[in-house]
Amino acid sequence: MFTLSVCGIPLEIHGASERCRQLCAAFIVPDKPDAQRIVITDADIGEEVRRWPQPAGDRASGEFTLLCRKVQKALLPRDCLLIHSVALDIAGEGYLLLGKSGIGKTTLGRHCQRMLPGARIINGDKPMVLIDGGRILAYGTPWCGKENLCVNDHVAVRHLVFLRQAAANSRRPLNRKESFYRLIHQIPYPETEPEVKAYAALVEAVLTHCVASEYGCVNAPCAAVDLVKAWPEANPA
Amino acid sequence: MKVNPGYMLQVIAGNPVIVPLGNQFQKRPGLYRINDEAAFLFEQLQAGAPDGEVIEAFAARFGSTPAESGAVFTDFVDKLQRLGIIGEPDACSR
Repeated sequence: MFTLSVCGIPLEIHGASERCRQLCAAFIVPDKPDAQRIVITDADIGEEVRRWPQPAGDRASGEFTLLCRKVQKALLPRDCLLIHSVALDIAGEGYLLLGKSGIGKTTLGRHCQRMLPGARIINGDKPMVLIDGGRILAYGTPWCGKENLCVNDHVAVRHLVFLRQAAANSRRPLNRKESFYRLIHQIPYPETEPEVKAYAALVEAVLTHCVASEYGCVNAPCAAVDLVKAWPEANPA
Repeated sequence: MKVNPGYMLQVIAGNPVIVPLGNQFQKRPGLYRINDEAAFLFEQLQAGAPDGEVIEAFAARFGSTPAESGAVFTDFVDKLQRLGIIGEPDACSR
């Protein structure tokens, strides 16, 4: 058993392998009496591997993915959403870089780290976003992608940046509907009625408190510089 | 027509979506984006209203002719049937 802290919420993990514990090492905290209990069983792992095929019978990946799903489900009622994105802290200003796998989220994050003072990647794949009243806080998690880009820290997010590859850098503000249609595909879908209600409230909060843009950019350091240049002030109606 | 169990209509940030739940989620996870007109039809169907009443209510709500409403209804029902969200008409609702 070990205790994991995600979004500052302690989770007591039972039944996980040593490999899984190692992958979570940066987020393990001393045991806490109020921790929420999460149990991993062999049967769950087998089901996970059947449900979402892992690389060539990789049971360890299945277990790690399963833990992610269980953590996401446990934290949804506690105002947390797992959002497939790169969470970026640029001198205290938070950005979520969003888009399909392979679109260049991590690459742009790395350009930002190299080019912009005070820029760091909080999480390279699946940050947990805590909706704390009017504040949208992106936290690091152990699920941070192949390049293992994560820190156990958080940043207040102000910008949702939906990426597309382009021959030149340009950005346009997105209205609420456009942002919604793009955002929902980056969050695990809810599957029970209470989850749907929680999901709806949290997605609405994210869209209310963040400014959304589509950013077409080149794969070059200038994309980092242009990312933070002349950002739109607010979502248009 | 009758909406199969395991689907709910939810408005998220002003956008209506149909959400599969439980077993339906296992078969086909996701969210189905629909517009306000489709949301109205879905609500009526889920409440078990007969087809004719749904079409009349749609015409009254959106100011369309019965023929236009019927066409919209048929098109929407076809789409829901293809997705398995509604099944065959229940004899009692005809």
